[in-house]
Amino acid sequence: MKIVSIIALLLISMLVISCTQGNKQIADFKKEGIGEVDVSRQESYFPRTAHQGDTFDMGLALINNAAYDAKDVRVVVAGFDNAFVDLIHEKEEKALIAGRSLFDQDGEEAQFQFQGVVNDLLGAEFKNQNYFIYLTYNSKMEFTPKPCIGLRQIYKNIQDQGCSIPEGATRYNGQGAPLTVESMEILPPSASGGEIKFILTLRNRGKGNINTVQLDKAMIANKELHCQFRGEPEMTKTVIFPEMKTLEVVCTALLETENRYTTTLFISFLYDYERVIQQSLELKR
Amino acid sequence: MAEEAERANAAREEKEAAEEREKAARAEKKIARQEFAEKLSRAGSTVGEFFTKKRSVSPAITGSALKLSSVLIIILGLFQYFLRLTLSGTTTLTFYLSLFLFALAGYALAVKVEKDKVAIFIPMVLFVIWYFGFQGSLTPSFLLTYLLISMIVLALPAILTKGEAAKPELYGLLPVLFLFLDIGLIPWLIENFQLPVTPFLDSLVFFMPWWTLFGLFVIPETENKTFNFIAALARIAGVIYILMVLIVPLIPDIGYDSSSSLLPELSEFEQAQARLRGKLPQGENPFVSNIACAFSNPVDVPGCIQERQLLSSLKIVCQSQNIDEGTEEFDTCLDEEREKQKQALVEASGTVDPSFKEVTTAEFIISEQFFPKETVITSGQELTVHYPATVKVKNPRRQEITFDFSCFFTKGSTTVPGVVSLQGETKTTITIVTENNELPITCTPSASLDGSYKLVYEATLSNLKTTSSLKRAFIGMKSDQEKQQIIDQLSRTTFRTRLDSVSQAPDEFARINFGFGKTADDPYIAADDSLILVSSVTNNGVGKINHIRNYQIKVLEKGFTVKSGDIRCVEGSAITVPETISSRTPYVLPYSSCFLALPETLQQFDAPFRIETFFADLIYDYTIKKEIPITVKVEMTS
Repeated sequence: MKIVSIIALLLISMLVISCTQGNKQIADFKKEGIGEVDVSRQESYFPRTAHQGDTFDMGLALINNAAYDAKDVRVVVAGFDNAFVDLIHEKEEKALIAGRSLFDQDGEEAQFQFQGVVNDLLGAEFKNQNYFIYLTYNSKMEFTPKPCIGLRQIYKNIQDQGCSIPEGATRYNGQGAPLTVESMEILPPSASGGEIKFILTLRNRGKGNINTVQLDKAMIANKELHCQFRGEPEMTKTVIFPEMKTLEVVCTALLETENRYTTTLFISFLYDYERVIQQSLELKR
Repeated sequence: MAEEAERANAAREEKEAAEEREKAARAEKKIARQEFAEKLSRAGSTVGEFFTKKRSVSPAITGSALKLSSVLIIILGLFQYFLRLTLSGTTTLTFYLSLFLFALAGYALAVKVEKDKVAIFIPMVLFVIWYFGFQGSLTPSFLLTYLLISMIVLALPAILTKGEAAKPELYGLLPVLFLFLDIGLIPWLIENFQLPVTPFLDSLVFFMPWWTLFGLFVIPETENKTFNFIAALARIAGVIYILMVLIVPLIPDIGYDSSSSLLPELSEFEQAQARLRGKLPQGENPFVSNIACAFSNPVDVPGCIQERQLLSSLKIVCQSQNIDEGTEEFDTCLDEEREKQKQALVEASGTVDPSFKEVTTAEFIISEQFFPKETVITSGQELTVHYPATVKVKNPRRQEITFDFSCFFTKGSTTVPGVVSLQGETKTTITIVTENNELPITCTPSASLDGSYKLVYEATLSNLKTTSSLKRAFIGMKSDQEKQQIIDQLSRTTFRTRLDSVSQAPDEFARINFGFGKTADDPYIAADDSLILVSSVTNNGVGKINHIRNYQIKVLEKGFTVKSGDIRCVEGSAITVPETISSRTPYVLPYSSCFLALPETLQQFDAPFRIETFFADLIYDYTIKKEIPITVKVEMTS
């Protein structure tokens, strides 16, 4: 009985830890948490040494842990000194690596193979080669919250269906991609018939870099929602994602009623992603 | 009226009854609260008792359980080790076996300690959650939360048991350490710190049966003293080994490749500075710098090491001038010396290539034992002494080198020519093509000697060839932001130090230094850059460069063209060099600078960037010499 209570204590601790962790590290097909195309450690192989005259193989195994498909996946190997290493080919492409879904909760895996030949080291005992694997792809992220909209609580005598508009920004755990809507703040109009604003803060929480972000679709309850990147003209739908920073998107909609009610937002973004993996190979005579 | 009185009575009675019920309810609540408090207190003391209670298991049973589990760990550990060797790495089977051994190790430790057995598993569970549940995340915000909660979880049993659970909790870290060493360390270093781990560290982790070592740690003492002694030795060796594995990753070049070796770089740095004012004094031990920097400045360990080493050397220089540390004068001295260092580095336009361990060398060896330093002859007697020497030649690249020997004796302004005998024959020239050679020669004076002389042996080596190499990164047509990203990546790996950007050659007699780019030592070349090429020749040895037969900087064969300037900036022949050329003053070749045009193939390409190494050959004649004092005493015959 006592052991059971201690184990229960531990399990509760585990639960507390899991729940208090700000973001789920692994995305699931429900489009939550953080997920991206990851390197499968067990399936990838990169030799550490190769001798003069040897042919060597390298294999990069990827698994799509995001909740969305990765398109135009491109893997490029760069950084080998062309005087000492000849790569048979330095680029491999794949049109699509499917993400996690109801039908495949693990995400699709893909293999990329490369081969190289070590040339004459011209008398040197060794040469250290630091090289990089550039992984690039395009993908999307969908943000589908169910916010409460309408006038603020200070206005009395309005129907509210039991919902209230939060003060300040609401934080989110991620949408199953490296690009995340970190928070959304709702700014209701000060009087009836005005515009309601949604301020979204986007952040890259992946291991790589997001180069550009494109505003794809924005709907509020099946009606179009006007969105634009803060500081950019309304026409600009694609922007460069600032490295290590956040990006703000401001969406506006005209309120049809002053009552408060829960509705559905659908805002999707397209982005191109790049991840660089560094490896090294020692060439020996 | 009576009805009214009855109603009033009934109401009073009802009120009193309600008051009574309320009182009873309050009393019940109070009792319930007391009971709950008691229960809570009992629960606390139960948990505390649970942690602190000694298990009433007989020592014999405990001993046999411990023996059994530790022996099982040793055997399974060996099995897992051989599986790993046979299957060349971690497979699903070895991975799960490691996890099983991890749990078994926890059990063995729990058996070993008498009290608070369960507490051992707390850090183990916390580690499993962090490493597998959260994939060993190092995100600061996450780590902060996780460590805080872990501390609470660890502190709770310790508080309830009045500190007694703290010790077993520490024990619980042992299986964690072994699991981490077994499966976690290498991928963790690579993934989180992007360290290109060296094969040495890899082997250090790979070729150790970690769980067997753990088994030896926990196995109880037996009656067999020899076994106990061997187990104790293994434990000590194991602790040293673990310390090594944990420290090695912090050391550049040993734990991870720092692209260009840091210590040779420092020695090069010393050489450059030595040109100004002799060899640098010994500074801080590089190992100490490594460790200190790994903790004080983990973001830029190489830069920190370089700075610490430099500062410690400069301090010694200033201390040697009898200036008190901490004074303004001392700071001024440091600043001045630092400026001299910078100047020295600018001069070091080429450097020694550390990847050539075996280089072409030739030197005179005099055997003191058999060398006639002092000879006594009688007047009228002819001096027939042969002065022997050997030229030791290492020719690892099997070049065809011609040696031409000569010797002479000097005394003030008098010079007496010597007659060279090479390998017992009256010849002075020999051509070698083999790797290791020892060429014995003798020198005999052509006239009689009397007094003290300086015997000078000379050998001129013809057709020596030393090849220099220069690495460049071509980044094509890119936006400024893209260029900067590539430069950031490469400056952390391929071009970590300035010496990676200058030409390198084996540590031989002479070398050609060359550089090209936006400036001569800028390794990053974009498609639209204007490229200047410069070159010079350094005498790297102690002899003399007689003649440059030919030099060729092989850029034309890679598609470059000379845009402006003389074509002789990339290749030329028959250059006579001044006598003054030395390692201190590189000789700038005539027509040594010109502008190059970048070939199309290095302007536009698919890859994010390209790394190319360029070569330059210097073919030259070089003279080495050896001076040795001799004395000839002429005694008069009576």
